[in-house]
Amino acid sequence: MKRAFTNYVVITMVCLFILPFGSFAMADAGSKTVKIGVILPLTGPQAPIGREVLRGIEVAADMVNDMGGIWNKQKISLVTGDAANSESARTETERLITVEKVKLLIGVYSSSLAFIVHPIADKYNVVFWETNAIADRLRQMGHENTYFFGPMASGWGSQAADCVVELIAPKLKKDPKELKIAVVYQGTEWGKSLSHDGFVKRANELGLNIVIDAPYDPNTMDFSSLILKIKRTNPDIVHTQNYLDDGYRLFRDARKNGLNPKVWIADGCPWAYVDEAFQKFGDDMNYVLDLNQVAGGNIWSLSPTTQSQYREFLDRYTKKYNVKSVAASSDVAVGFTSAIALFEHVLPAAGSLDPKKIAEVVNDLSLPATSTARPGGIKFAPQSDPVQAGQNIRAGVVARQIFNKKYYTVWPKDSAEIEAIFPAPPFGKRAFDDKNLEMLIK
Amino acid sequence: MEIFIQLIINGCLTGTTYALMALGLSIIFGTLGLINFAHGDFIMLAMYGGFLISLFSGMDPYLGLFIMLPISFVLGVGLYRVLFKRLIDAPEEAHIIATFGLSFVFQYGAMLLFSAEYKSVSTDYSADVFHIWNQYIDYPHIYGAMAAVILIALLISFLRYTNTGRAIRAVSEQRRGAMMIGINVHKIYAIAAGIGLCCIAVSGVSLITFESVHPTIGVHFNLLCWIIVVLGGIGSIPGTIVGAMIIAVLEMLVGYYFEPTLTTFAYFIMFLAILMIRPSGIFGIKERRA
Amino acid sequence: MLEIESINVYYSELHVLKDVSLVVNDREFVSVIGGNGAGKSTLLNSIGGHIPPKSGMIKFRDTEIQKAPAHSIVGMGLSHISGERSIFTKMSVRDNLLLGGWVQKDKKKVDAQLQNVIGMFPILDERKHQLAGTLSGGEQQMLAIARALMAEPKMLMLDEPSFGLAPKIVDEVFETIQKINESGVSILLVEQDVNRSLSVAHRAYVLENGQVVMQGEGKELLGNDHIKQAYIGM
Repeated sequence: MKRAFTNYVVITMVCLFILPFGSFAMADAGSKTVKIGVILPLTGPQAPIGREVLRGIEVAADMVNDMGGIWNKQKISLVTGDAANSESARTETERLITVEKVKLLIGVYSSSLAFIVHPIADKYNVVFWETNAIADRLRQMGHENTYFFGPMASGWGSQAADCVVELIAPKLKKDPKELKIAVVYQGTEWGKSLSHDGFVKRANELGLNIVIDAPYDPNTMDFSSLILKIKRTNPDIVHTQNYLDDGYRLFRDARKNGLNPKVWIADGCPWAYVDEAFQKFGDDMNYVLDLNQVAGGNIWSLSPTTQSQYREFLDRYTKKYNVKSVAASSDVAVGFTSAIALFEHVLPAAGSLDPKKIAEVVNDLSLPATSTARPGGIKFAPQSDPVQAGQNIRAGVVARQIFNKKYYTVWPKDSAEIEAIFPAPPFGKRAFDDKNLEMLIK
Repeated sequence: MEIFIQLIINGCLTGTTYALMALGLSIIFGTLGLINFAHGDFIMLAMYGGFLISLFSGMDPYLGLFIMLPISFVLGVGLYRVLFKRLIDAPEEAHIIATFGLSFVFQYGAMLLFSAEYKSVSTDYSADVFHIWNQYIDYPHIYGAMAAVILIALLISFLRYTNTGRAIRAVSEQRRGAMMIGINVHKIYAIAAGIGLCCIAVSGVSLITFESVHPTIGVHFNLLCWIIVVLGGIGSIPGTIVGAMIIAVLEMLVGYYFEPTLTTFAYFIMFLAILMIRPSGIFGIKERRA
Repeated sequence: MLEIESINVYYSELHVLKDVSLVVNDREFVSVIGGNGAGKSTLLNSIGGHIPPKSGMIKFRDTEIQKAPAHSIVGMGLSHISGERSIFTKMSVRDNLLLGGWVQKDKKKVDAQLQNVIGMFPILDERKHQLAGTLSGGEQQMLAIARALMAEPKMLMLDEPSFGLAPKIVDEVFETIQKINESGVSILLVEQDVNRSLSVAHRAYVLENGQVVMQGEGKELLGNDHIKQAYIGM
């Protein structure tokens, strides 16, 4: 029996890391094409996100192709690789580069996968256009041809602390220093850099009162013990960072154990913008403050051309994939904004996929917040920067408050759509009449 | 003290969930000696079963058991005839490889059928909380615990007081001895597989009332259930229950008093420690030497 | 009752029983003796349906059973008690006995038979709630016999019932077997203890290297020089 158990452990490891789920490849759209590799988790636990990002990239490619393509009417053709788990991320990236011969890769969204995929691209001197992968350390690995379009974790988390001072404290009519803040996050690379290195560090600089700094094991099935621990500190604000399963469980157990903070911040929590959250929690999702690098969350403040481009994307996406609305998930917009910036602002000017030419273009890029549906704007830190090499330093986050399954941008001020409403009523009393909302719309 | 009681209550409720999850494995492994590494994925499928029934009929998932139990039993018998029967006399490596294959088939199949999105069932009691003496207990877990208690009671009385139940115990201890008194062991194995799948059905239905299902949710369940079954002692239902309770309560206490990042780690250490003191698990009886 | 006609039995490649023929008549007590590895246990396993013969015929009460599965043979009235005591150690004595009546579907008959059997083995009645694994060696052997009787067999096959028991207990076991035989059950006994075995048997067969080399009445064989030299060591 013991032997069987050891075997089990070994084989679990083998299967988790070696056996990929297989991969899908798309047909090559003819010879006059620019082949771009897309590496994303398309099966496995992260697939709900990866597939949305892919759709965004596909729509971006469609739009560019319908406008005549790039470089003398060449069409963009996407070749996908499935990063279902660490090992398939490795083999699929190798395959895209060596078998499919792609010279530029876009993906991979998750930081843990990025740690595997980026070095491979670097080894082959292939440009990697990273849509997300927010873990800070990825910027410090010396990959000269890797660019990070989305924000980095510590920067992201620190913006949440600014949000507490600029938005939440005034709404609660309190001095920010009086507010008791609980910080709860996954004890993972992502969680630590966002919540601990980002939010907590910035909060301390701002003199905010962190009453509990609590990382947790994301495999926990019942978070009651953690919730009770937090509840004892009686926080005004709970700042959370979670993924999917753990996010649902944490929120569920907060509700069941009667943890009722005045503000629940879901900071970059995928679970909070997947339809399932509304299925599960219904009205209790109201008043949650979702902080995210929400592409499209700033649409009111964009330039007219960017606005109409973004609306075209929404339109195409809903038609192409037969979905009702895009508001509930921003991953597709992450894919779209990342890809369209690359296709529109980088590739045409570079004239080829040569890493040096791309580097020249990227270094000179400086676009204002009105030019991209990704909050903040576009400007990259030089590859010589020790902390944030290749990072889009203008990438920012917006805060959206959830009401009746919709997301309303409330911060930063110039992107705000409505006035935020705090404190949140306790769980079970969060039903919200849409009529009240109309009064808040700016 | 209040907190401590709350932790213990929560631990016990989670423990019943764990016990429910591990029971099917305990029976199939204990009786057939089948090392089923697709167990977590069976639970995943059962969760989808509960989800589908309530999606199409609008019934409470627990009522859906009236449909799911007979189907599960038949599936268990079928699975035994088609696959398990060929495996039980094969070396352990074959069990592992075959059930791992099964696990991938299930995960991939679920991915194709249900997509990778998260699904769950909302019931009228999903958000209801029982509030007494400053203690919070949520109804989905209360009903889950009730289901567990009923199932365990039925199972134990079945095994103890019916002829078929005795035969299952007999076959799991001594296959040859059982043949010598005229028991058709393949029939009993098939019944045991059916019962195992019924237990899995109940656990899946119970889970779907408070957990979201997705195609790879079973991977973590699998490790958890194996640890519970081995910790409690192979083939012992009381052992499985005690193992589940120990792990759940330990998780709660470690999460509160010690370090929430170390809950999984803590039960792993506990698991190794107990196996060092009692290699056949808490309720395990030393294996008879032939 | 039991007729065996030239069966050949193999353990994968190994030819264990070669053209063995044997008869057990109604109410008869037949012993099979032979050295280690002569194929005695294989003979019982083959009759019991655990290792079907490659060729030849086994008839029990005029039905051919050489291809029948083990469990159905018990249902026909032929019970088998194997050398490794196959009682269920983790179950109570009573549960062991009740399971012995598995082939009997009528619950009332099972209860009646339970009373009969307990009458024969009073010690088991005293221990009925104890786990079978806690019984002494002799008690476990009695339980194995009692459990087999629960199926109300017409014929009983026993493989080395004296193995590992103290001489006094062995006497008891043999007495019990004789009593069972006197109650009308045919017996086929495989035993190392040649002396005892031949003195109680009506007839006996001698198995050497998988072949029947000698047969005759028990007492008669006991006097045979070859037997004396080879098995009794006189």
